[in-house]
Amino acid sequence: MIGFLFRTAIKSAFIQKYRFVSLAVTIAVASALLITLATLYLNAESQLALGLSGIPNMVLEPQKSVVATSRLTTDDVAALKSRKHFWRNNILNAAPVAFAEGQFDGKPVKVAGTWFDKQVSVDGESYNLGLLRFKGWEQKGGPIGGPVDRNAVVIGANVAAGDSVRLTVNGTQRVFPVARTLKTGSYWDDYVFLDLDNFRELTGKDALDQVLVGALIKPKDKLATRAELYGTEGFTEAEFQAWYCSPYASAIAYTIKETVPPAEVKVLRRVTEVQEGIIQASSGVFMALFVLTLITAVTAIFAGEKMYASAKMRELGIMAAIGASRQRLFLQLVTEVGLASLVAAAVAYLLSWGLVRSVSLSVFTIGFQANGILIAASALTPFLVSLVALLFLRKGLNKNVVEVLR
Amino acid sequence: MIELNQVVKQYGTLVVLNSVSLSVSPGEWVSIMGPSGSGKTTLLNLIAGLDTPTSGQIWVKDTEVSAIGHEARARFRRETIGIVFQQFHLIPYLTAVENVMLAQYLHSLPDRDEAMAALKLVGLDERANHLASRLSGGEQQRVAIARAIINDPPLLLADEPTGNLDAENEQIVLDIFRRLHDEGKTIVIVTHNAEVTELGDRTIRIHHGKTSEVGVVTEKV
Amino acid sequence: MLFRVVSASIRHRLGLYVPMLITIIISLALLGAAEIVGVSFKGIVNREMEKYGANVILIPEKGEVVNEGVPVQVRNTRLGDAEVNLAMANTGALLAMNPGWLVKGEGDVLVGSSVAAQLGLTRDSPIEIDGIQGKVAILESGTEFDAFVIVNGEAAQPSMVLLKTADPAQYKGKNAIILEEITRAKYGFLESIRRLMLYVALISALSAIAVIINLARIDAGERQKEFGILGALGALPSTIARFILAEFLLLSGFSAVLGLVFSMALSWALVALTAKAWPALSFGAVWYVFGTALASFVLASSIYIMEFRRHSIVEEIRGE
Repeated sequence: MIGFLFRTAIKSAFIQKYRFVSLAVTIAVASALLITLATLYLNAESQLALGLSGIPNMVLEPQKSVVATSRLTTDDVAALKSRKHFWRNNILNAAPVAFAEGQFDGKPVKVAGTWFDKQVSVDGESYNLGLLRFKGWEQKGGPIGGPVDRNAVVIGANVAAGDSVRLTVNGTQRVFPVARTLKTGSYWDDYVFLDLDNFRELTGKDALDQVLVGALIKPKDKLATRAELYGTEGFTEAEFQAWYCSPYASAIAYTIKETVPPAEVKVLRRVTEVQEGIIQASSGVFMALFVLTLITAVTAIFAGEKMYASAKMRELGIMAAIGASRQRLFLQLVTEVGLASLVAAAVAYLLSWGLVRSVSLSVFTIGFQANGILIAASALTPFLVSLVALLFLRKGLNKNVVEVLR
Repeated sequence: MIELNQVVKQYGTLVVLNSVSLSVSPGEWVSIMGPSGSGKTTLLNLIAGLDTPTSGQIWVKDTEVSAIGHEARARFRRETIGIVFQQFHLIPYLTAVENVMLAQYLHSLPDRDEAMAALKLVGLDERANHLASRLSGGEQQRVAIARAIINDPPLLLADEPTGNLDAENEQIVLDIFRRLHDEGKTIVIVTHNAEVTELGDRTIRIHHGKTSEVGVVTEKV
Repeated sequence: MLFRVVSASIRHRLGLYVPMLITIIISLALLGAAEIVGVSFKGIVNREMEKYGANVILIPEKGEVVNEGVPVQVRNTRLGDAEVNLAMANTGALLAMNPGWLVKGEGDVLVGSSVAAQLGLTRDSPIEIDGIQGKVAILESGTEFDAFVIVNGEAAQPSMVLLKTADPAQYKGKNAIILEEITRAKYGFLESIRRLMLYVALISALSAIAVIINLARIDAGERQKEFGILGALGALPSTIARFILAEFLLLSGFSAVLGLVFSMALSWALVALTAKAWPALSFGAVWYVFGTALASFVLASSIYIMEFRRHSIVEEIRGE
């Protein structure tokens, strides 16, 4: 019985190959659409947030009080990525900064010592941190992550210099080649940056003035707004846990303060407010687009199957006329549409594998991998939709045979 | 009215019509008989300009149907012939009168009154506004005849017009053909039915693509 | 007659057309919404960029009069035993220009968070500075102003003028600090959104076309028979093409109009509910929706017309 059912289904698919192929193509395209766009939406928010977080949005400064000023060191920078820091994974980059005054071409110039692109080992993990790892800043002279001569300087875009800089700091004059020009769109465009070790050698200054931090943050909600305005003192334990365990700018600043007690953590609100606003707006839109895509894909599959079954009504009428029960007709349609779904699922898998990669590369310059669960869900979708579509068609199957055959 | 000269129709290696020649005079009723697959319908399709011969000439009225192009054949069908099929071939989602008006539209301009008159002629004016798909077989065939005659063609071609009809409807349809013949229409009917051949002026037998008893005149009943 | 035949044909095929039209309309709506959302995003991003606040800090030359922005006069003064930076400015205008700044408390003297931490000042506590009495409001700006005490007043001899301008480049060469650090990130972001929306649109158009081709294939048998009948009645191929085109133009017009209406509704819902902005109907959306609808249906009619030309009338009439 089952063998015969499959035989007739396969035969029907072969005889009406164009219809069958069209149905399979519709299902495959719709499923691929679902897999591709859903993968994109699921990754888009974090990718766009990453794109927006390429600039420092927090600054650590030594804490000042009336009696004393605390001291920040490079160990404090490394500590941000250590296990003792709860939000270490959201710290995308950090760079120590120490300031000095210098002279260049007889004019005063602002000098800063920093890490350009330093490999730092923390708790057995290796990270590259430093000024040139802020991906939102425009670099000239080499790519982000490319090798940089530690004995060279990095100059801000407003510093007019050629291939080298004759710099006088603390009475000592030295010539440095220019490794990169950095356009930050902020105060840093006026600076000449030295490697921290060279800076220390020239200035004799050991302590840091600032640590620039780029953190991946989550848009604030009512809870985070309350924390910003009134502090967390009034929070219940549950509220505090919810706030602490969400990467709000205020929560990350709090955990940084826990990790690096001598620091005063300043959130660069002009940056975080914009980041939060844009992430908030886009995440809502992506979720809505995801739902829309789901509806479009399901409707396309549904329509394809309904059209296929409608076109087969006459054939089903003939089967009914020679004694096929309604269940038998239903089973026949389910088998055929199921067969098309099976073919489509395989095609959709291959199609979306390539599509997800190429589209994500084009949109975010990163090749995403389609989520396994998503692929499984998309492969299942046609089957589920088939069943629903066919349930609707039961009405058609209930029609008088003569009516159908007319 | 119709002249066929050494007409051959071949589908690949299969010869369906093999050097058929025949002549039909204006106002004549010719029946074409033969077993299934003998080439009757192919012959009718060639005369109607629905298909083209592999070789030979076909003249209908003053037109060499076998030598003209696609568009000219379409014009020829509109103006010179009316066709009635065994399967009726009405547009199922148009009403009876709309099916008739469609032929008018393709010929010149649709005129509902004329279309109604044609339906009245075949006794279907009361069913004029019913969908073609809702009509019985006999009714559908009568609509098909009304459609075939609406543009007043001199030649009427019919392919098994009573093949799908019961005895009662067969009589109705044959009566209509008889009337049209009396009005001077040239009629060529492909049929299995001996009763139909008896109404005609002569019968041409066709067998394995060859017309055998061409020119045999049957006695009129 | 043409309209009568076409409308009857559409009615006859409702079983096929309704699911197809629903899919096409939803696909077109998604396509149009993608375009409208893409365009609206620029506005949304620009709106969010407003929170960035002042983007030019102009240091006026001696005697230079600046008639725009918020002038700030800075000097050192004493607060109790400590020396602090005092800034005098129109605090209302300053806060309005910098919506990202956080002010804690209802006080009229803005005490920067660094100063407050250093001196142990709390919100709403009384303060007297340079003879001005008031209540403390703590300012968290994430800027140098966190190290200032800001009082409301006229900056007669401004040390700096804060400006918020769409064209900060005009201040290049002047004694000004230009802040546009997030601009590049913004453009990268907008470019990604634009590309993403383009793909959403492309894939929705593909889905629409797949459904229409499906229809053209599924319905081909019955259609051919109809075309065969018309051909047998003497219809020219051009007449048949006219029937098909008229039918599909009607369908495409219907889907395009509804698609556009739904595009608007969807993008409105999307943008208004999720990003609290009002999208405007973009010319691009009209163009894409109508273009795709027309192209899809012309494609379908072409398939029919090609099929018709490929077969002889005898084959057509048999529905082969």
